[in-house]
Amino acid sequence: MLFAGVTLTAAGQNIRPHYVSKAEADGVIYHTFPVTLFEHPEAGDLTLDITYKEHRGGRATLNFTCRMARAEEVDSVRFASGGVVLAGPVEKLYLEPGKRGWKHRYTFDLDASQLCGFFNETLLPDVTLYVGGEPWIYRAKRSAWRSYAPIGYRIFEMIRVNEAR
Amino acid sequence: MKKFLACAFFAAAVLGTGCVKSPVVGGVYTDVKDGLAVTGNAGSSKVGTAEVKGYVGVVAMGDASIQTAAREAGITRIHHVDYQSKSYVGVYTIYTIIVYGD
Repeated sequence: MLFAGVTLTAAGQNIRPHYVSKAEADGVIYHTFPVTLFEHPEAGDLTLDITYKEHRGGRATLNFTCRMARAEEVDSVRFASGGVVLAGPVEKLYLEPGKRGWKHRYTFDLDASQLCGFFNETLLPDVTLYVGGEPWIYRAKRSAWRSYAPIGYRIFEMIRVNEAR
Repeated sequence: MKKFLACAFFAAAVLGTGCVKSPVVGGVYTDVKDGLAVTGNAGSSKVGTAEVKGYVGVVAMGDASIQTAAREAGITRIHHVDYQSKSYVGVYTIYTIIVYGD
């Protein structure tokens, strides 16, 4: 019932402005544009984008940007939305000092089959970054999540359907 | 004098609006994707983006360089580059570089 509700809401969304796709010799590559869905009371926003290429074992790449007061080494990340947990070690892309602390950019490899379940607008997920074993918890921005979750769901549903052809 | 300055500012703003890099520009609404460059490198598994934004044709900010977009995804070998231009009544414009590579 819940699953059907999410699908019905997603059906009303125009997903085209939120992603790009390109057919290549070894499969279609999809990329969702960066979107800010999470925030930390002190550190600020967390922005993420996801890239998926067909026929690569169902793995997707999630890149995210966050800001911290100091240059910290993030070890791993955990995206949790209800029963769906996307967790694993992160790889640093770059760190850069800015006006408001340090900009951190990391990449993370995940199981793309769980992304439809992750983008559930009825839930409010959170992201935990582990810095030296210490957790930094980013909560979902309620309105941004409610607005984007059906779009994310529909993008990864479309990918699943196309790859299954 | 104040009226003259206000009129000059308004005219500059109006004349400057809608200007976004695109093969075809719509005065009211633009949403165009186009290719920018292709290299001889094979295939791509990563995508990086970078964008600039313009407001009322008066203020424009950002970094939409290919280097920045490539860095966002950790791309060291670029396969090809696309761009996307959007403009809403010329008041709000977005120019996005999309880099594909490995």
